[in-house]
Amino acid sequence: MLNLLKGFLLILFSLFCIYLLEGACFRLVDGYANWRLSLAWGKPSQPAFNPLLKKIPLDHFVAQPLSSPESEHLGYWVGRESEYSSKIMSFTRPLRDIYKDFIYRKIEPLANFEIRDYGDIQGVVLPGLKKSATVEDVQKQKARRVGDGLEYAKGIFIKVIVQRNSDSYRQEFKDLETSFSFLLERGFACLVLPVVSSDDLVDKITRFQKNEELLAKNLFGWADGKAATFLMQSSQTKPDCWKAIMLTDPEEFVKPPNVTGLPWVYFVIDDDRRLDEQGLDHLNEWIMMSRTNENLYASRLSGLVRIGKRFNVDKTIPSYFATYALYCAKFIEELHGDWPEVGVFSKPESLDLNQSHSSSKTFVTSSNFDLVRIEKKNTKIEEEESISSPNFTANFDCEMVRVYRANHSNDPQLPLVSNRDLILKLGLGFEEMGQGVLEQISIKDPLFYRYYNSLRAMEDSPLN
Amino acid sequence: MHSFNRVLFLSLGGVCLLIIPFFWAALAYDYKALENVMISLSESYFVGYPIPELLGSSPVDSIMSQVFRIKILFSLCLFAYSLLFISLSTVGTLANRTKFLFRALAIPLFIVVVAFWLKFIGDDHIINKEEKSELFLSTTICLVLSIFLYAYSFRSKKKNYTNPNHPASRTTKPLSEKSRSADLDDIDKIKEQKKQPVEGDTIAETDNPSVESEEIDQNDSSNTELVGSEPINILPEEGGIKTQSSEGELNVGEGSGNPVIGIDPISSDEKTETLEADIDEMQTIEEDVTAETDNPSVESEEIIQTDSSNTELVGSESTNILSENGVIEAQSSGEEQNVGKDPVVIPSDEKTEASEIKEQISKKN
Repeated sequence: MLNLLKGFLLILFSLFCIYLLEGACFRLVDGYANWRLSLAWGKPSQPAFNPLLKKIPLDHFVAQPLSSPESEHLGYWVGRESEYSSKIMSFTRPLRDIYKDFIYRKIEPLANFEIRDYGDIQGVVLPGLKKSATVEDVQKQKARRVGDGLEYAKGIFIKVIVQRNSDSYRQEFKDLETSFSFLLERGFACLVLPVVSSDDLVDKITRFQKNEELLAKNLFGWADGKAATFLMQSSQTKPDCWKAIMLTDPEEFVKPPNVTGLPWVYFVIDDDRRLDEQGLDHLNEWIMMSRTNENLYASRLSGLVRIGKRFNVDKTIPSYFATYALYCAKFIEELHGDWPEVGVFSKPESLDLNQSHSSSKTFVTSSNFDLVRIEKKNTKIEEEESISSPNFTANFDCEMVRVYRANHSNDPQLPLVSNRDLILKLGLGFEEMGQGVLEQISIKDPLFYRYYNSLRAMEDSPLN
Repeated sequence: MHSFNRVLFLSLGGVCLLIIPFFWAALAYDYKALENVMISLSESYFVGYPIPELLGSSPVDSIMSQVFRIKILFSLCLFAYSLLFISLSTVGTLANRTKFLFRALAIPLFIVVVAFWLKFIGDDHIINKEEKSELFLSTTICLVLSIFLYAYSFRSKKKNYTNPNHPASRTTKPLSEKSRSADLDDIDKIKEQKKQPVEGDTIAETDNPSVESEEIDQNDSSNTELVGSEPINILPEEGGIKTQSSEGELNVGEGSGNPVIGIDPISSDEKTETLEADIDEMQTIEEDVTAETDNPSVESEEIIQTDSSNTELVGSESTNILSENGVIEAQSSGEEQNVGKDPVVIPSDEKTEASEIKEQISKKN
């Protein structure tokens, strides 16, 4: 019996060691991480969950957070989305390690690359990739004769900035040189694009795509602050001009276009930002809309949110954006042009994310546009909302209150105290405990913090 | 009488325990240097992780709370190990103490390494080349150390079989330096002639195949703490030999807890022993007879080269003989005698048996 137990323990220990070793390989070896991803999801052209691996709790099969947060505050949802993003993109960590190392070590990063101007678009750093011109290229007058070298890139990484003066452009370019070098070595062209408005951005990009069809086939945009809002607006105006957009703490969230086939989006927002609910509903819509895709890769990797920390300090491209663009380009390449086209979004039910990839067609293309059906659906949704809205009352329910009630369940007086009073009492208590306590509470329970601030504002109001 | 290493463990535990109040007192009285150490530790990184984060702190925690956490954990760790040292000082033998100490170091070390790797694998934490080197170096050192320590704490005892049919443990040899391995044929013959068990040399140990081999622990004062040991009583009705110690500690052999009554120096050069075996055939047979007739139930013992503090066998050659009056003595050619300074008395009814065996041996030779 003892021997049996010993053998069992030995097997368990061996399995645990194997688990650790496998995890270490996945964490540190880029090739293995990619192989495991393809094993779990299949090839991008023929994606399917591996039925055997799905039984193991691997990062690739982590469930997407539901669109309806339990506590009505989207701050919780953002937190869960951030966790989901880090899990689902865990396969990029080895490459991000390489990127981080590259950033620290590289000297004279753009020494081997050509920088060229294309009309309004200036300072495009080219990776130096060339392919031979075909007859078709000659006919389109892209090349003088067959076999001539044609400049191309796997994608263009564009940092969109708000146009101020030439110094700001130079400084931005200088800060990004090392990051650009990393992408250039992997076949990306890079560019810093100053714009004055979203229209200006769309105009410049459209013209560039028209003139340099081969080079500007796949555009990946990154912007922060006000420029991020421009980028979102440009996607709203012309969703198909970007393959992926990466947005760092946009100044303002805009509503997504009601279409399918949106570019892949990756948001990074400040931790304080999620406490303020304003704009998070638009963020939520962006995420849900961009995930409505039949392709497993698109539905899983598009629409990510991350809570960032030091993005105002670090001027280089964040490693998660650099690798996101690289992998996005890689999957596009493996899709062999089977990229989803822009179509009108028709089925709000398909926002149930966990079924999005397995459900039948969740959208119709512009040719199948059925206005009557959409109106019917809208009417139905409005009716449902009108039914449910009278039942909604602010009950000031939040995690802190729940925990407090659970801990003091023996107190017979506690059920008589309303959540509102409890929040005020607890909040005042935290404030008395010292500076910073309430801030920490706000991180743990943003809804409580919000309720407390609102109630305090009402208490302090001269109307009361 | 306390052994040196026991005192060492006890005092080490005591010192560690005393450090804790001194540590907190120093911090309470604003001993800047110590406070600075704690603060710099809280700002240090390991594989890109801040040390407080590895200890469970949240990144949003203030420096004071992070420092406090480090202090608490340091104190707890110190407290745990001081208790360990103190408890180890109560453990019987040095070997056991060492084993427990090694396990107490190896297992937490292994758990720490595993816990760190689990965190590292699960986290979205990016590292550069230097941090990778740091990670691999620390992991390798910790793993090797923990495995080595753990393996050492479970090390198997040496088995020194010269003949598979006759597992001559080292304890069978060393009754005298010249004593040699058994001659089975002779034993069989003698057995046939005289089948009843003979109470033999109490210094010799069982030659039963079930008896395990023992370790030789040199200069282990803790193992040979013979304080006021009394004569060894042989109980013939049980057909075995039992030892009793009325007072003090008869603690011989590593961890076995079984008494070893003879302590002889063992020549490490076994080749020489083999050559000498031919010369000392008679003595070998004599010894084998005594070994063969020993009680099979007696478990393994260990022959210990004696500590000078207890047995003080300095360059001595001890030999065991059956004396004329039937008393088994452990004699030493050196200045002083070994364990069991008092002779072992054989009951009178067994004296004749011993004499007969001796005669048989004399005839044979």
